[in-house]
Amino acid sequence: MISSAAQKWCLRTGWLGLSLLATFGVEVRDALALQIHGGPEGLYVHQMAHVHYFFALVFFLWYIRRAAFTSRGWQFLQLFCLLMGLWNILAFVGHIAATHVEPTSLVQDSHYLTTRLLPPYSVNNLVFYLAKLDHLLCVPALFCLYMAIRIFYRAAMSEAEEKNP
Amino acid sequence: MNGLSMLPAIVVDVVGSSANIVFAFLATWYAFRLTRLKPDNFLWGYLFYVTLAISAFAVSRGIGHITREVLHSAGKGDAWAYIAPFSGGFNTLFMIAVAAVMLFYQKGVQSYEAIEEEAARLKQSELQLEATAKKLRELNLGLEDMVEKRAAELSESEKRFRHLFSASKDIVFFSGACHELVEMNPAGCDMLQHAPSDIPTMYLQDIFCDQTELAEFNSRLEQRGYLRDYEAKFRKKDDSVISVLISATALHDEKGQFAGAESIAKDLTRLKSMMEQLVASEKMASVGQMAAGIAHEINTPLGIILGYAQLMMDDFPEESDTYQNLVVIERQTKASRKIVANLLKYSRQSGSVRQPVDLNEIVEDASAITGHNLALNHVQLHKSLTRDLPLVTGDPEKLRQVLVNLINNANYAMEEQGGGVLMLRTLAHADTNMVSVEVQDSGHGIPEPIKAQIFDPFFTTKPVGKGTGLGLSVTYGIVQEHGGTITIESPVREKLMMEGYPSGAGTLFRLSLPLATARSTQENDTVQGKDAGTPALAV
Ligand SMILES: Nc1ncnc2c1ncn2[C@@H]1O[C@H](COP(=O)(O)OP(=O)(O)OP(=O)(O)O)[C@@H](O)[C@H]1O
Ligand SMILES: [Mg+2]
Repeated sequence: MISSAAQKWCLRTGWLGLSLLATFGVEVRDALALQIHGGPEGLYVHQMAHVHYFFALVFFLWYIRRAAFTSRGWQFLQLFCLLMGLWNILAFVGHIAATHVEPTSLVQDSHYLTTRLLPPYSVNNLVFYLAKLDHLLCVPALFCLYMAIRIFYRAAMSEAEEKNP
Repeated sequence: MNGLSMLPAIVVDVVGSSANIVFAFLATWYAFRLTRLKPDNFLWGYLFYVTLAISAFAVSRGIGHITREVLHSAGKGDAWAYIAPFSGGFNTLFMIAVAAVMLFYQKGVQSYEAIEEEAARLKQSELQLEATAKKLRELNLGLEDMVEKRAAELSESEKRFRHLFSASKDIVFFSGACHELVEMNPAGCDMLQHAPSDIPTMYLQDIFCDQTELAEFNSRLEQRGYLRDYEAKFRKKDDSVISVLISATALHDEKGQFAGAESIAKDLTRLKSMMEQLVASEKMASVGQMAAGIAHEINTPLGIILGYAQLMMDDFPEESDTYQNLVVIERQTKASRKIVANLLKYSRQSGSVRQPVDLNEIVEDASAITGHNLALNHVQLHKSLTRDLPLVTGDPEKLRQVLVNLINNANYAMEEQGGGVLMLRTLAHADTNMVSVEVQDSGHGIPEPIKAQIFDPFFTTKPVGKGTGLGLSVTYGIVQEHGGTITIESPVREKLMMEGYPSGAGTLFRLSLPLATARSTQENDTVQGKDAGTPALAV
C-alpha cells in the first residue's frame, strides 16, 4: 500500500511532466495567423493552465470519491468534475487543432457571421469545429456545480430550521 | 454555398458564455449563503472560494468571448487583436487560480474527513455509552428489585428471630470479645432488674455472682466453643442472687478469633427452691417419725429421772452440795423434757383443733406473752393490723406458738446490738384469698448461706445449750399443716428505722394462710387433686 504522501508526490510529478510534455508536443507553426491567443508563450502558458485545471479536477473527483460522499449534491459535484475535465481535454485539443487550421480553410463572404469552414474536412479541421462548440460541455458542467451547491445549501438550511424552528 | 457555417459555433459561444456566467454566479451566491449558514464549516468555505474562482474565470472568459464575437461581427477584428492577449492572459490567470484553489481543496476535504471521522467515532462511542448506560440502568433496576426482595426476606427472618429473642422467658444475651454485654432480651433485663439501656455499659462480671464461675465459663467457652447446662449464679441489681443454667455458643470472626458469645440462661431459682422444699419436707417427715419415737421413749425415763431427783432433793438440806447437784439434774431434765415436748409438737403427734381464727387476735396474744422480754431487750414493738381481717381456719394454740417462736427469734437477733424495732403486720390479699402475718425485725439478718438451713430441725446458731434449733422446724410444720406458706426476706427491702435504735440488715418472716372459705374449698379439691394445698417454702 502506498502512503498518501507518496501518492501525492507521484500525482504532482506526473501532472507536471504531462503538462510539460503536452506543451512541447504542440507544434506551433503559425499561431499568429489565427490570432487566437497571441504569441506562442501565451498559448503555452494557457495550455499548461488547462492541464493544471484538468489535474485539479481529477484530484477533486478522486477526493470526493475517496471520501465516499454519496449524497445527491456530491453526485452533481462529481458530474461537474467529469464534464469540466472533458471540457479541458476538448479545449486543450481544440487549441492545438486551431493552430493547425489553414487560414484558407476559413472563408468569410461578406460578414463575420457568414464565416464557413471549407472542405475538404480534415480531422484537424473537424476537431477545430467541434472544439468551437465547447460550451455544450462547460455550461452543463457549471449547471451541475450550481445544482450541487444549491442542494448543499438547501440541506444545511433545513437542518438549521430543524434545530431552531 | 459550401462549407460548414461557423454561425452555430458563434451563437453557442455567446449564449454559452452568458449561461456560464449566470450559473457560476448562482453557484457562488449559494456557496456564499452556505458559508453564512455554517460559518465554521471548512468544506463550505472552500467550496465558496472554488465557486468564486470559477465565477471569476467564467466572467473573464465569457466577457472575452462575447467581446470577440461582437467585435468580429462589427468588423473590428483589429480591435480584438489588440484586446485578445489581455483577455487570454486573464483567462489563463483565472484558470490557474481555479485549479490552485481546487487543489488546495484537498486539504479541506482531508480535515473535513478527519472531523467527520472523529464525529462518527464520537457518535459510535456515544451509542456505546448509551447502550452501556441502558444496561447499567437495567442492572440497577434488577438490583433494586433483588435488594428489595432480599431485604424483605431478611426483615421477615429478622422479625422472627427478634420475636424469639424478645419473647423468650429465659435470659438471652450477647457478649463481646472482651466479655462486655452487647444486648440482653427484655425478659433477662426484667429478671436481673437492669434497664435495657444499662446493658451495653456492663460486663459479664457484673451479672455473674461468683467470679471463679465466670472464669470457668469463659475458659470452657473459648476452649470448646460451646457450653451446655452450666450452672451458675447471677446477681440482680439489688444484689439478690438467682441460680441459672447457661447454654452458650462462642462467636468467631473471619480470622477465627473469639469475638463473643450468645448465651441463654434459664432461671433455676424456682426449680431449686422446689427441690429444696422437697428435700426439706422429706427430711422433716423422716425426722418427724424418728422424733416421735424418740420422744415417746425418752419421755418415760426422763419422767422417772425427774421424779427421783425431786424425791432425793427432800432428803438433803438445801445448802448441801448434793442438793445443789440435784437442782442441776432437775433443771437439765426439765430442759430435756421441753425438747421432747417440742419434738412431739413438731412430729404432729399432738392433736390439733380446727376452728375459725382471727389472726389479729393471735398477734395480740403473742405480743402480750413476749412483751415483757421485748421490753427487757429494748425492742420497740409496732403493730400494724388490718381491720376486719378475714378469718382463717386453724388451731389457735399452734398459731400462737408460731408467732411466739418468730417473735423470740427476732428478739434474739436484736439482742446483740442492744435493741431494735419489731413490726407485726397483718394483711389481707383479696386476689389470692390469703391472709398474711409479717414479723419484721431490725436485727442482724440471716446470712445467705444458711437461709436454706434454718428450717432444718436442730439447726441453730445459738451457743450450745441455749437453743434447740427446733423453733423454726416446728413453725414450718404447723404452717404446712394449715396449708400456708412461710417466706423469708433478709436483708429486708424496706428497712425499719427508728430514731435512737440500731438497725441491722433485718429479717422479715411472712406467714401466708388461706382464708377460711378458701381453705374449705381447697379441702374439697384435695379429693380430686393431690397437689392442692401443698405448701410452698420459698427461701
Ligand atoms: N429473726 C431472725 N433473725 C436472725 N436470724 C434468725 C432469725 N430467726 C431465726 N434465725 C436463725 O435461724 C436459726 C434457727 O432458728 P430456730 O428458731 O429454728 O432455732 P433457735 O432459735 O436457734 O433455737 P430455739 O428456737 O430452740 O431457741 C437461728 O439459730 C438463727 O440463726
Ligand atoms: Mg428459735
